[in-house]
Amino acid sequence: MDLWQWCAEFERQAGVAGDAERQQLFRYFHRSRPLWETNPERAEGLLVEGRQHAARLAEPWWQLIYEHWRISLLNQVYQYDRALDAAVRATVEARKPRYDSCPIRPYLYLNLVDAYMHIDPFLYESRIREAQDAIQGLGGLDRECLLWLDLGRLDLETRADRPHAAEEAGLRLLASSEEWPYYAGEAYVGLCNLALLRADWDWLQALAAAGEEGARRAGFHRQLRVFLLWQAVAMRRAGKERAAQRLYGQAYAKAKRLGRLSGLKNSTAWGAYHEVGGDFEVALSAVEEALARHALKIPAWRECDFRLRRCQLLAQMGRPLDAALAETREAARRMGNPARILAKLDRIEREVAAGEEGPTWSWQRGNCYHARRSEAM
Amino acid sequence: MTAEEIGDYLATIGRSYTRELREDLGMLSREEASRLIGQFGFGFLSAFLLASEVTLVTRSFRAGSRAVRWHSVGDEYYETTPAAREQPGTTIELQVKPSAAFALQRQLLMEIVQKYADFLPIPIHIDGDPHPVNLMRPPWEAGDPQAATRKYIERAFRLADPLCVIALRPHVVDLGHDTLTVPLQGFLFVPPASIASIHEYGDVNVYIRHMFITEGERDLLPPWARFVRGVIECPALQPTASREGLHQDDTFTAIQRAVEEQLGEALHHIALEQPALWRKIVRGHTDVIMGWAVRDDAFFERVADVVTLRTSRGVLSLPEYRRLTGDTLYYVTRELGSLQEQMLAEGHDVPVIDASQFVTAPFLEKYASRCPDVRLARLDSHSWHLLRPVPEEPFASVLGYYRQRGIRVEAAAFRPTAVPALMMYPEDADLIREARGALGTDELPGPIAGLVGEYVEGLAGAGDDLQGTLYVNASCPLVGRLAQLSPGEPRQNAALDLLYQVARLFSGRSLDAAGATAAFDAATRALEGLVGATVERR
Repeated sequence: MDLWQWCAEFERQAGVAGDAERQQLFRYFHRSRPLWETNPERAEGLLVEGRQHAARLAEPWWQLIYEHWRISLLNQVYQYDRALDAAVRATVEARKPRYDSCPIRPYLYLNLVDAYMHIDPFLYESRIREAQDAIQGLGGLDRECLLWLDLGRLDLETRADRPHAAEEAGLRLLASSEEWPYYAGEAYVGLCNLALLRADWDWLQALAAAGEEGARRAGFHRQLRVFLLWQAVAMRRAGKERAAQRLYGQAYAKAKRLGRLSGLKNSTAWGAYHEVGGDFEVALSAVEEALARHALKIPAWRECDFRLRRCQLLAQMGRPLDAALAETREAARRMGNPARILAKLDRIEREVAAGEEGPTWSWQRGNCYHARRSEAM
Repeated sequence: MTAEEIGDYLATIGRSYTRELREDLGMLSREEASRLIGQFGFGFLSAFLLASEVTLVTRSFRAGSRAVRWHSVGDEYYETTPAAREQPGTTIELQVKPSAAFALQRQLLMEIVQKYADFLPIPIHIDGDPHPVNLMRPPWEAGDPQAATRKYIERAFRLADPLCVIALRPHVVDLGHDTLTVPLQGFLFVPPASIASIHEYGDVNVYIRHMFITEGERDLLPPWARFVRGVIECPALQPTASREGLHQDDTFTAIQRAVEEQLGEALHHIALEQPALWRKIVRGHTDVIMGWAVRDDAFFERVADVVTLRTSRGVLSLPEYRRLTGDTLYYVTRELGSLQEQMLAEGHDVPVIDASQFVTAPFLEKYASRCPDVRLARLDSHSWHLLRPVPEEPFASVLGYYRQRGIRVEAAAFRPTAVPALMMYPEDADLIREARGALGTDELPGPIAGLVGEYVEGLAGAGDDLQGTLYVNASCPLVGRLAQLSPGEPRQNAALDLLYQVARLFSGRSLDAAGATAAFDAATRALEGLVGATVERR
């Protein structure tokens, strides 16, 4: 019995027993879930209330389940330090014998791994991979845990610049997530990033269109915005400017309505859209804006990622970039393992010195990787 | 209909007679056109979802037309034959499939009619009942719209006595060079107080040309309006092909803005003109309102001074609370075990806000960030600032006794003075202790244990003593007397042992079985020592 089945069965049995208090336990989650994007504070509040309700009823399994959902929410809304703290506490609690047959343990492990991945995937890369293997090795994992594992591998390998391994995980995730729209959507999101790296515009269009359909059906606003943007990128690249602008406008309006413009502007798709159209200034100003708003408040590797993007754009625009390179190297010193970022900075510097046309997003050079063409798409 | 119209429209998917009629009429009579509800041209054919056969007898209003009978079993063929019918009009007969017979239950039929066709101007009768089951017009078109709306809320939403009802009206949008009128109608209302914060509303039922489209639509209301419900009627909205949802296009956005503006204005007006009602609204939905105010600055300004919070002296608004504490907000977030902190605060004659409800702390933080005079003081594990350092010298014998036994101890003055000592722990002491215990076993898979250990060791500050620090209260007369006893005197030793164990037990920290046994053992020995000393003295 997986976690959802367990929750549903608990609710059913409470109903049969006429136990209205216990029957209500699952409802906090149902009220919270639609708010994860529009009002995460309120969503978290409802999850905390759910946990408190469980505590009043002396239902420790439910307490941990609510904690698991809360950690997932915190990871989703970029509150990684809080997610990590809560994940460690919940993991320590979950080891107790009273949770031996509770389906929650692997979920908490996955939350813990996610938190570390968001905090510094470069520093913890090998330890995250080991943890993922260890979770896989637990055996008896339910379907969602397996999907989550593949999603984690897709994220990790993308960040670790291992696109083939990322693609493998992404396609596996896509193939097995038919009845899990969230995971299917995340698979499409990850694969769109890879399609860009591969400069495979047809694949990008197909992935984004399929993703849009699923996101609309499931009502996932964030994914929907991203897929609209990715389609806009593909359309722009294909010279279909009106269609591109329409899709871009839709994504923009939706993000603005929900107060998520900055998230949209920080996305790879946003940058790609403007670069494909030659609007480097717009792409650069979005990165500058993100740095002004987030620098020092986000994990160092994320900040370095923004700074690296700024260096790439400046180089591409033929602008002076010494100061930007120096700032990025300085920021990289705060990372646990800055080697990969520093190597990329060195490469930009070398290419500029060699007089090459500015180093760019790898897709523009068509030199990133030539993936095995997927059968799935 | 004529036989030709039947062929052209009735049996052709995607061709809508009503839509074409509306387009024709639109040039002549907008009023008439706006009442027609057909749109996509497959409404009639949906009868076959329930029926195995449909028979229709119709006679057109056109001069010289004859009655026609149309019959179909739902496949690609149909037949039309001459029929007998005196007056223009149409009768439709459905042969309901056995599998759909459930839909003929009177109660269900009534609910369906009232949901989908309540406002349609055509009377709908069930089982020959002379009273139509549908209202036939929306409450805002009734003679007394206010009374009709309240009655409708009770009937449709099963909610009596809404706190307030706000009528929606056509909304004029200034385009700069011109104005545009959004044909908006309907009402919004604030339900009576939520019993628990889980009751979050923020949804409306949507009608287009008096035809029900969807219930529970959440995007038309502003995100913060989760304490509001209502009905919106607007012919400018575009239903999706399935008619179950709405296209979120530019018109939708304009209507969103219109609704937000009218709701905002109405609430602002209530806040100014009917402060008692405004308080009732805000306090009735405190959790929901606080949760959304944290995200919306303008909304926060409207409610910040009205919401009430649970404190150790009952329910207070923030202005009321600030008057008692000189603008400092003392709060505890811990769900259990904050008794010690609350007692310390009360010792300083200040009430403590219970911020264990998740939304309270972010609300207080936002409040403090917007009011320069307000200071925040979180008390859980941070209550040292309620203690005043004092010179150690007068208490040297007491402090020395504890230090000889490896107990970390400080002298401080605090209230209530009846409390001789308090035990305080670093914030994460319990977690660190427990995690270290777990990492020494194989209770966690190796790599997971490694990740846990990494974090926990980062938490354990070098100078922190996980055993906690005992704060001896210099303001407590008993402590003063104990300090004056000769060092090493049995009565002093026993009393200090007892004082330490009581402080440990009162701190609210969990003890394992061995720890609890040791604490009781020590306390018992101390009591025996005191009793023995008393007996010997006698």
